[in-house]
Amino acid sequence: MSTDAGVIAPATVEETTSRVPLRRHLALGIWVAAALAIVVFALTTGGFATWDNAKAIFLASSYVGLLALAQMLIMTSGNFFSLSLGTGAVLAAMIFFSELGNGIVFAIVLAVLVAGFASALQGLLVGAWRANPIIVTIGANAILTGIILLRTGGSIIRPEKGAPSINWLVDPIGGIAFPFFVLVAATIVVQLVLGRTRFGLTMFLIGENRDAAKAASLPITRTIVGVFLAAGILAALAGILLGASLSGATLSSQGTLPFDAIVATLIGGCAVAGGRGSAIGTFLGTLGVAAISSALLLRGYSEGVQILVKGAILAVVVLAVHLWNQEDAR
Amino acid sequence: MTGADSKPSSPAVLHLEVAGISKAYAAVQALDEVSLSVRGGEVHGVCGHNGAGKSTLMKVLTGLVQPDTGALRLDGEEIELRDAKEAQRHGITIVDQERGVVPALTVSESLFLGNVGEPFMRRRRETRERAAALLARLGVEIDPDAKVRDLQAGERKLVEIAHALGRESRLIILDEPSASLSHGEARIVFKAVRDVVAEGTAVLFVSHRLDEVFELCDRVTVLRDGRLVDSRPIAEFDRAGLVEMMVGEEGHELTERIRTEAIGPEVRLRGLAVPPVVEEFSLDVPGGSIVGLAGQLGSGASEVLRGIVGLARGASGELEIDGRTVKLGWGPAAVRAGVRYVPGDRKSEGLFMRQSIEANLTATRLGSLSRLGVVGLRGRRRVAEQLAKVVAVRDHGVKDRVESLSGGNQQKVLLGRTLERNAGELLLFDDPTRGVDVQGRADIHRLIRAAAGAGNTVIFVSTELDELLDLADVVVTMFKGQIVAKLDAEQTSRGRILAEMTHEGEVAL
Repeated sequence: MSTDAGVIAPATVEETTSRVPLRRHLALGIWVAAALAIVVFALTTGGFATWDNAKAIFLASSYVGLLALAQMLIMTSGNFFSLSLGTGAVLAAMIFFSELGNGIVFAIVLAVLVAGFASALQGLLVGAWRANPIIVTIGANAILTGIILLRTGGSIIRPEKGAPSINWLVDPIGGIAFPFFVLVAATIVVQLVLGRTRFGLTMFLIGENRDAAKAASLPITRTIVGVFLAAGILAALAGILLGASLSGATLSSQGTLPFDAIVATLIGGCAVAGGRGSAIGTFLGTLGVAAISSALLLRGYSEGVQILVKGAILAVVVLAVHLWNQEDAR
Repeated sequence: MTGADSKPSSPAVLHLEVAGISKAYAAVQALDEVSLSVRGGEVHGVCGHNGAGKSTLMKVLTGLVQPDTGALRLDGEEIELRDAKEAQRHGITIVDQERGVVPALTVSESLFLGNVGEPFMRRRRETRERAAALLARLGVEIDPDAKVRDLQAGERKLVEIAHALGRESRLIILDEPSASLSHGEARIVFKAVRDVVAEGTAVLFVSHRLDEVFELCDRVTVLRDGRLVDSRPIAEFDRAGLVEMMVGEEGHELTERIRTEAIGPEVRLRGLAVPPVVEEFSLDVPGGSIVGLAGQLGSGASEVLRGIVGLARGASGELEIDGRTVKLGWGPAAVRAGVRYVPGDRKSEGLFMRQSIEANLTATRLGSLSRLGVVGLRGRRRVAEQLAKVVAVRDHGVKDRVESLSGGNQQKVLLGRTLERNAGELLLFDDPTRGVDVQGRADIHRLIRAAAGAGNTVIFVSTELDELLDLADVVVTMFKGQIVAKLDAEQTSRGRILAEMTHEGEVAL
């Protein structure tokens, strides 16, 4: 996948300044070099450039991508990231499985509502009282984890016998797994909401400068609650789909998903400080991360190496973005 | 300079010469060949109105800004101050408005904070003894173990001065030291300043308050538009003369006012209190008029606006707009009543700097541009382009990011967000032309006047005399949260306004 290199560049190249400072050349150089290295690395990996591998990348992207869209919303609204989304996803999967007996639609709706509500509650603390989002979501994560452990005793929750089949949540359509279609649909919806609705446009403004939003009397609380609600819903979808593919849910099934989602969001051009981000960028960032993971996997590197490489890429991205956006010292 | 620790007292009497310093920011000549001479053992006042170059001069002396031309000579030797540390090494320290105090530290801890040559750790008792000695030198009674956050504003200022003394400073710059102090607190600070000077230290005293300048200073330097007007012993000045030097010649022409039939809402404020500065502020603004609140930093003028619009915590009082009571202290209520506010600090509170001009101009209009939550992008673009044209944002498309604009154009974008809505609103502008060039100023004044003419009522805050005279129908001068005088703009002068905003007078009727 060569797309990940182009993700940040188009969004920022439309600068109007005539004199481009050295650090921007440097940032661009880092981008191009990193992208080239990754492309070469991927294409020289045996079995990478095949349709089968592409399908595997799509599937792996689906879960990370939904969670990354959720993180992107929170980051763009100026609230860094939520550290409770992974556990929220697991909670949703567990509710989904335990309610399957009451019908699949009911189970999905209830799981999504509960996870959405839990996240929206955190949004209320952050939006109305300006609580620190990191602390709020760490706390919420602990509370959710505690509730799950109390109720399940740490065991795996599986669908009851006689529950309706959920295979269609996993099965491929035209060769591509169903979850990937969910991700594509979610990306389109989120992109439209961001670019075309009052809610989305207001969210960018609040994320960019909350004080100015307050002085302009923009609806801060309502918007941030909405952002967290949407993030909770997206995480719930990721949890349900992941649970379906594993045919069970436990706390540890989130794995490195929350971390991968943050990496994908940042690579997708989202500004940690808020005010800048896009669904399509996040989508491409997710594919990029999945492609790198896949190449590493095909070459037989251990999980340790995979995480290491992802971390290194994140560091490079952060450096490049910093160089690009740094204000000129007076 | 760790060696300085061994001989703490009696450095030679300082003699700092500023020789022909110039500094330009882009097209603005902030300092133009300014020369003056500061000696140990005297308080040297620096007076000048806004934009006179005072703050640039202070920055040059503390190493924060490098002059384009000119030299600094300390005791006859030329010195170059490349950064703040170097200034400190030469014994120059600035005590500015609220820096150098860390609320969570104790007095003795904060007294030695950030000093060059301070060891990484020091014994607690030793620190406390040195702190007590320093405070005793100032002749003040502050417990070295007290937390800074528990001190009064005046005590904090004294701690800062002691901090400067503890650095063996030979020149202490006091930038508006009394802006946040009560009368009594200021007295204590001034006494300490006299004591410090008696020991041979030089003090550069920057103040808007002429009473204080006459009370404290031995010598005064007057700056205007970046140029030195005069530098003489205080005895050779009188109050009127000093004011005249600060404002220049009275050659101001009034501009025509546009009046239409539409009349803005009548505004009635009773007993507005905005803690801690404004205690009781009452004002009647006739519909459609423009009131200028003239007040320096700490006068409470900006706080009055923030109180009206619901951005200040704990604001109370009565506000009526066209006879309807508006709940104070809650933003949405004010907005619903038609109050629009343009903050003074456009970067931190006004604009969304990294968003487009379009996003900024339409930020508060998204509601009317959308149907069922979906924004009509074409309509938005049209409105943005139209607004950009009205406020005359030059040389830029509406997709350009606001941070790429000049200060003047940024300010116009900020105004554009507020103006050109419906008539019948109360528009509040805090320092509407801060950091804006001449052309931009004229444009902005035209816009505000047009808004008033189109049926809105305007209250603005400014420290600039020309702006007050240009724009306002009535100028209300404020000092320490109170109204000093109400002046008819057509019958007053720059000197009168300046005189009324730099001292506490009788509260006018």
